[in-house]
Amino acid sequence: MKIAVLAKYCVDPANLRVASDGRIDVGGSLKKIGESDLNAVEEAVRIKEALGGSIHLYSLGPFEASKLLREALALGADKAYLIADLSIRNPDSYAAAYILSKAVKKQEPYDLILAGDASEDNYSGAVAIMLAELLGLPHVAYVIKLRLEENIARAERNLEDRIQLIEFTLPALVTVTPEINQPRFVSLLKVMQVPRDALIMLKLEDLGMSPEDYDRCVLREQVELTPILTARKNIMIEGDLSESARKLVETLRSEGVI
Amino acid sequence: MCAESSGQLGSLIQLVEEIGSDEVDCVWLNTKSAARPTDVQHVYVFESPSALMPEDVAAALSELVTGRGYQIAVLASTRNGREISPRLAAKLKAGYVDGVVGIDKTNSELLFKRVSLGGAAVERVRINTAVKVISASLRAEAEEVHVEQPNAHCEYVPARAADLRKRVIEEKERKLGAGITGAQKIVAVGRGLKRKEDISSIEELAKTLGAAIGCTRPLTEDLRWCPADAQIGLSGCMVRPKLYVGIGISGQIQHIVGMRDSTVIVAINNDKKAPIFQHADYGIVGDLYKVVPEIIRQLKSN
Repeated sequence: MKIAVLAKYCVDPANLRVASDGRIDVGGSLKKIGESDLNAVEEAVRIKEALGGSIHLYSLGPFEASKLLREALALGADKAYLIADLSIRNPDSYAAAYILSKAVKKQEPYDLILAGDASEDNYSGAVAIMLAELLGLPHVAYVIKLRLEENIARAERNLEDRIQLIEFTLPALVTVTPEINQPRFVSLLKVMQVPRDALIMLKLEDLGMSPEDYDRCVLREQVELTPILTARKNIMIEGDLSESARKLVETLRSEGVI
Repeated sequence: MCAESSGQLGSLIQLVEEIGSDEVDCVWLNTKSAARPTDVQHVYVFESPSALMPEDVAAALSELVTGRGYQIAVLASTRNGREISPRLAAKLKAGYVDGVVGIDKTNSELLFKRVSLGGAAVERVRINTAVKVISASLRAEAEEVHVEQPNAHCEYVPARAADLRKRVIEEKERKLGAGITGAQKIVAVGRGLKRKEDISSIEELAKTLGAAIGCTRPLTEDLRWCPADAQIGLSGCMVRPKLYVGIGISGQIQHIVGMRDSTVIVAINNDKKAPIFQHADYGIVGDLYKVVPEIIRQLKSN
């Protein structure tokens, strides 16, 4: 079983850095690998443990992403391809999917491509599905349970208002939600044991793309990013236990909400 | 615009009106609800002998958009819509924005607004292609749209189900947020709860207040202490009760996004630095195991 997993290098929305002028400093904010992408890596490792095979990770991002990719590799993947190129500025989902399709095609064929359902920062979930379209593969999205047998795969997927059981054959692209598994704990030692050459850096040139080719596949751009500010009373109710509980109940009664 | 059910029409039409188009046609992605909404010129229904997968719907829509020269395709930002739209956009090589909450029009240029960075920010996005694909965030406040019955004036467009070698074997409907969407009062609980059985005191508080119980993502997805449909937040339900009481919830942005439109927000947490207090009207710093029983006692005493 040859598996590719898409791992997004994304902004961690729980650790945003706000600049002194109130703007969100996206570049300076903490980064992470998308949470459900790690579930996808874990699922790939479980499949490899059961059926054998190899796992390749694919990611787009700056050179700094290599540290996080090593942590993802330590879960049990074999290689990681990091597409890092200074020409790649603010890719939209189509540009990301297009570049990934070029990279994946170089190592094809894969039996299975796995990805998280959406990354925490943008929450679009568009790249993996666009990639399936560009590779001409069927997709099964929002998977919460995946079972692979010899010639057939079965997946349970969560469409929010309904749960669907799907039977399909490989090759296919599957996106998973965090419900599917709990990624294993990875020790620092494991990360240090990841071979140096497991991480392969690629430039656009390696994929047969020029900077102009890249510009042509960016179809949308962000014009403005404004923090959402909520005005709340922020009143801390103090005092001993019974006093603060009494004050809270009184306040809520006077607000007319209880 | 492409609707799965008549319930989505209000939200889609509102967005289409903000875009400001003089010609709006409607495609039904679900033949069961096919009908003609008022103010819509053409109505299309895909006709196929077998069930259409998102891949097939995207292919049929792409032909329709190209064949009849549409400039913008608007779908609903449901999970189903989020499977069809990226395929459609990639087929058309059209710029795509998902989860659009509104339109900004400056000098007749359209900017699409969407919530970004896990709910911490709103971004305004420009699409650089002539054909655009949008998925619209569904609006709870959207008005119901009158639809003409029966299926008059619908044009049936043949669509092909490609051999994708995948099929649906079973489908179970699920009541989403049965208890919490539309609830006037919600008591929500998070990781501050130490054991599953301790939820009984939260249940007692909810019962005393006449509130529904909600929770954060770890309680359903990691610990499985609460049913999945009780989850509030970006990957769960969006709620806007009159009263929200968050207990033992630190206030991860994913959860805050789902509850920040509540009228009054109360937070109880033992960590005075917990981010939830910034989003609360009233906060009590304290041990939930002591504070909750005391609030119940106060509520019952008068």
